[in-house]
Amino acid sequence: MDITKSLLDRIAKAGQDHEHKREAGNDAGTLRRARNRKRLLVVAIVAIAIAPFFPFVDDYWIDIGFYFGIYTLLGLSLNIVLGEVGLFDLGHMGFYAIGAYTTAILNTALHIPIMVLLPISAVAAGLFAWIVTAPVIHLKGDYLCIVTIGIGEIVRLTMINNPFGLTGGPNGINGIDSPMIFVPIISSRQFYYFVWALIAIVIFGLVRLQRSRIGRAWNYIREDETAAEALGVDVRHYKLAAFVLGAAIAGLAGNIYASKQMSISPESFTFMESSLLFCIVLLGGLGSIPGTVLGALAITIFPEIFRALAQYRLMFFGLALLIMMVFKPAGLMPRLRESGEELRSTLSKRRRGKKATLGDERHEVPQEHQAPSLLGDALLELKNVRLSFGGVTAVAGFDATVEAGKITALIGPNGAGKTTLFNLITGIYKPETGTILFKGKNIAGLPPHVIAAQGIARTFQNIRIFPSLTCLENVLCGQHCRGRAEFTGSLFHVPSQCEEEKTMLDFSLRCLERVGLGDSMDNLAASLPYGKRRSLEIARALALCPDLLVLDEPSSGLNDVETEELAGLLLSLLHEGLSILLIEHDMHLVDMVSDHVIVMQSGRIIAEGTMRDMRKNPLVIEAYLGTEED
Amino acid sequence: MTILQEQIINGLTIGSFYALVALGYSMVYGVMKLINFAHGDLFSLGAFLGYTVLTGTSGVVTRMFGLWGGIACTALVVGLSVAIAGILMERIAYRPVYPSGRLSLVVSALGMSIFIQNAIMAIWGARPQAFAAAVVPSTRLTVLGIPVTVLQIIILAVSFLLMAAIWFIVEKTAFGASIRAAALDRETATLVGIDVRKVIFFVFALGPGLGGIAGLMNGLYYRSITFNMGWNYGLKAFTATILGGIGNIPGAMLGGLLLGIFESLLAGYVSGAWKDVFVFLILILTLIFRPTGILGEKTAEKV
Amino acid sequence: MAKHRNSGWWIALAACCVVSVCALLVGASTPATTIKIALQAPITGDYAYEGQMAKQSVEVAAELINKAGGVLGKKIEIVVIDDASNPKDSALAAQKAVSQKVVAVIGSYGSSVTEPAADIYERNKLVSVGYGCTAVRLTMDKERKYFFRTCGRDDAQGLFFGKYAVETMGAKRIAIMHDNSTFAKGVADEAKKALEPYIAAGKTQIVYFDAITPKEKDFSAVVTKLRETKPDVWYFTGYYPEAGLLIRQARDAGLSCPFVGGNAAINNDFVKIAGLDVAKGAMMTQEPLVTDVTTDIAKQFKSLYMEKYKELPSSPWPVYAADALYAIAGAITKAGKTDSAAIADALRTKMAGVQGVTGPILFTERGDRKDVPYKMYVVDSQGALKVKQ
Repeated sequence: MDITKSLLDRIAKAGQDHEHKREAGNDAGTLRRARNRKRLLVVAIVAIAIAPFFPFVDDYWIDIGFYFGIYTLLGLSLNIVLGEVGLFDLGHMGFYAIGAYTTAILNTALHIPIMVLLPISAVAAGLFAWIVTAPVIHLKGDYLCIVTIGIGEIVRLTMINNPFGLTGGPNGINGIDSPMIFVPIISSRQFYYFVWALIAIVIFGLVRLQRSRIGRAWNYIREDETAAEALGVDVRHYKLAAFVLGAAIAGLAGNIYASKQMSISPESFTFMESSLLFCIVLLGGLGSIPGTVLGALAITIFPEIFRALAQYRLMFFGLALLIMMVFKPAGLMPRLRESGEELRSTLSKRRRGKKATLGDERHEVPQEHQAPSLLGDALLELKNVRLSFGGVTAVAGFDATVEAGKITALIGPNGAGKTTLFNLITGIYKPETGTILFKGKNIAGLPPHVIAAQGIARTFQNIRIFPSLTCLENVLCGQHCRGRAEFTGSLFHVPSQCEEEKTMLDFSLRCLERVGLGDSMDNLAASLPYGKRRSLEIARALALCPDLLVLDEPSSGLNDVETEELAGLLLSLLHEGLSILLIEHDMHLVDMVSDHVIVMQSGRIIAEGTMRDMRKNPLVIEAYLGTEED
Repeated sequence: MTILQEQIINGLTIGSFYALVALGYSMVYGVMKLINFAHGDLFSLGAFLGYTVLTGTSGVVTRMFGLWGGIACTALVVGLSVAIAGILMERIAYRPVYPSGRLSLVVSALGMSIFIQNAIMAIWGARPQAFAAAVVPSTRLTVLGIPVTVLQIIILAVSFLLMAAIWFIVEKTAFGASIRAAALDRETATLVGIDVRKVIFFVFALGPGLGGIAGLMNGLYYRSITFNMGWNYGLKAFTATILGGIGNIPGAMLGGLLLGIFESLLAGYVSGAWKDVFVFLILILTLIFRPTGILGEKTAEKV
Repeated sequence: MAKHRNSGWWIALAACCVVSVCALLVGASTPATTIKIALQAPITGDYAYEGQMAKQSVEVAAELINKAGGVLGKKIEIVVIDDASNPKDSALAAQKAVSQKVVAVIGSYGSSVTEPAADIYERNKLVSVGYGCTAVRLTMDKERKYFFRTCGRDDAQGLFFGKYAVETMGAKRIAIMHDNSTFAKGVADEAKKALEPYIAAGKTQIVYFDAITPKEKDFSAVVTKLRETKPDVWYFTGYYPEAGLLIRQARDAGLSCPFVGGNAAINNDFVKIAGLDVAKGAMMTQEPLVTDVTTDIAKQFKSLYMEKYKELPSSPWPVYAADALYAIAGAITKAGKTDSAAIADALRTKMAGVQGVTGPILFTERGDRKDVPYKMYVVDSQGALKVKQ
């Protein structure tokens, strides 16, 4: 959690800087930056393409360009795990080693051509990643970090110990063939173009993933795992997917490395190398593809520049790392978020002439998940729900019913167990006993993302938005579990995925407009003032198309005007057929909107009924209202 | 004495060094949430400084203060110098990066580690150095039928004493309470009036100082030192810290000692070549069943 | 949009121009008045001490050769290229040597590091002479036309140990320990192979065969286990930093059997680390040491090295690096030109009379050094290594 938190802080800060500039230059800054990026991209492509043809670029420099490419591939693969999802991976070289050894063993023993082994190595590395990370993926931050270090070291030591005579021990394996693409690839220049062509393909795919629901899901997890899960993102699935994809790309790099070197040995896959990969991603900027390329360039070029310093070489390398971090802590090229327009335009490029702008086409949102429920039906029923923390009973045998089409308020003094109850309903905690029926089905103990998909959306007491994403992207999180597109769809832009994505974009924009944030859709969430952040959270929950909206103190921190607006919003949502359950301390608001009030103390219901009844109830007055209303 | 007992004692010796390094590591970790890769290299720095003071001055210190007095003096000098190095390191490499978050800190810690390691190589050379036999006490004793050197006893005693002292400071004193508070939540600690800067100063003086003395003791005990010896100890200390439970002082000690015993038993009964593979496997298995380490508390996250 | 793209191109063009001008300035090189020979060695990294000593040795040898008139009337110039004992850096270092148009290469240290470099030199037809790469497969797996080495092979050393242990020492229980590095594992495997006929004949047995973890310091668990196998002789094929620690901890744990080190295990630093009392009597399988060679070249080399660096190299490998330079210089002189094929040919066939620091340097058809005699050395009571009588 600490990592996510610090990531958050850090990204929020980067976001703020970004935002200040934007405000100062009235959007011109961002535009200029995006334009500069485009220019830089052109320059970079040209430079990489023609570099080998300069008269002074001999094979040595071309080889450096090749290793720059290998590190770029490795950096990109780690960037998925570390940059996009924020998982601390310090053993990434292990996956690279699996790819390299798969190639080496199968090529030398069975003489399978290198190009056939290219996908096989990727699959082997991905499969290996899946097997070893599946049991540990639930570990948090640093605990996961030491496990990845362990995995990296276990791979390396196993290779050294030569199990079944497969890996050749510390000597490694020699005599690996060269790849054949119509002609054998042997010269430095051929390898250089080979690796960079592959990088181009990988980057193309990664950019598409970044702009799809998968890439966003990764970012949601990085920004706030709990919030992402509560809004329907299958955190475990996407974390594993990131590891598998990252490992597969590292496996590709391993294949090319093995065929270029013609011999491999465990010395190439040390912990130090894994740490360097880590530096590449951080030097470039988390989650930033151009940044990763730049980081890889820095890591490959520094040692070569310092070569003349002989034994002082690594000393200066260390110093350079330090200085870069001190002066450029957010990385050389931090990730820029795409505007809604950009997201939209990439989807409908084929129809260039009549480019529809976002929000023009109104797509109907699929409603099939919204089971029609009648006013007064029991939407959510809690029966004998109990949970205790180390002897302290937080929720004690709770029975309650939330009726459809009504606003139910849950009130009670601090520490009464209200938020705990919310966490039980939304699956963040599992009840010790009891059942929670939602639309007649027991949801007790189901994981949060499943519960969310069934139609319960929530907000949090201490706001949990995704600060470094745009408002639109924040809201798209709610739509995540309504989408179906997986990797293939997102990579190849199949028509159904494009349609789905457009629908999601349009619907999310409508949700934003609904809470009055339509104009800020491209602003970073971190730049919003406090009250608007609450609205953003509600918009995000609405985007899930829930049956039941669960709001945890939605009015806290709002001024009177904003509270009025909130009340208006809640009532209008109610009229559209949404049921709402809220925790609230503002009795005025409760009075204005609620149909039914449940009063909770020490994990139990002490009274229930309308607000008017509650005012008269002596138990309630004693426990709660008396002190508050004075 | 059975072989098993002997191997466990071997493991305790290995483990007490891990624990000693892990202590400083864990303290810095607790307050800064920083995986301080450079901690292991401060450990080597301590060893090399001690080597210079004891052997480099051709035994002047030993002649002036006697064998044990010389070592005590050296320990003082080493502890102070490495503490200063630690404070400088925090100022130069960590404080400016801290606001940007933990991941950037890891990179600057790695940079620092590479820098110190290679600076040691530039100053003292790449060849291993050995403490001269004259400055190392070699008295031998037999305790409960086990042949040991006096140095071994002293080292074990000092390790446990230092561990106990740190534990006492952190758990039982008012200042320790502010360290723990800063470790739990830096912002809140500032709000309730704790001078977090002072805490960080203290932690970065004590942790590295301790690491430096541990390096000196390590050098005296094994007599040979190399410029890259800290890397291994740093990694093992990190492992020990996690095994015991992050930011938990008794946990770091327990983790270190356990790690030493695991290593010793695995090398003694399974295979030296596969030892580290099994060490990491045990670590991973422990974490699967106890996701926050052996003594780490399972904290429910506030949602 | 089109406008921005244009400006992108302009920037690219400008950048290219600037870079080309710089390149022209740098590229204007001077005609060769020296014979450039590269030394590829681990100047940084885990074996930095070996690389740095190799650099010193080769520079001393170059100075001696230049003082005596150089080669073909030209001075030798040494270009040092660091490979950080890492295969990837080694490949880059090799490519750098190729593009610097050196005449031949000395290097490198460590077989798995040398392998990718040797492939690159082979492809670019550049003679390379290894000085610290002893794996059998370097010369036997693939036929390499341009690769040679001045050091002995693992199998020769392993064979020597096996024969000596059984026939001279009469050991019935043999323990073999390595450190999982390419070199140490290689020698250990070859020693094991050499013992197989004796084991089949029932003359001896291997009671222990395992690895330690290099760079660790506490081997008490390993030596306790070793002690329990009750070996008659204990062969450690790894490096001296661990060897020194191992022997002392073994003696402390009460293991008193003879210690035999491989040729990387014992030197002055070993004695310093272990302490003279413990190191005394330790044996070592070793080619003739520079201290025992009494040729003129050896004397000159020793005195100049002492003058410059105050102590002799602490391991045998740097001296082989110097030998490699003598071999290359000799071959160029015999061939009369600096053409790679001619040098390689001379190294194979025309080396009669060429002397290195450790004596005459002759190569087999495969590129291995001919007649590397192994001897058993022992640490005497002064801590010096002497041939065991």
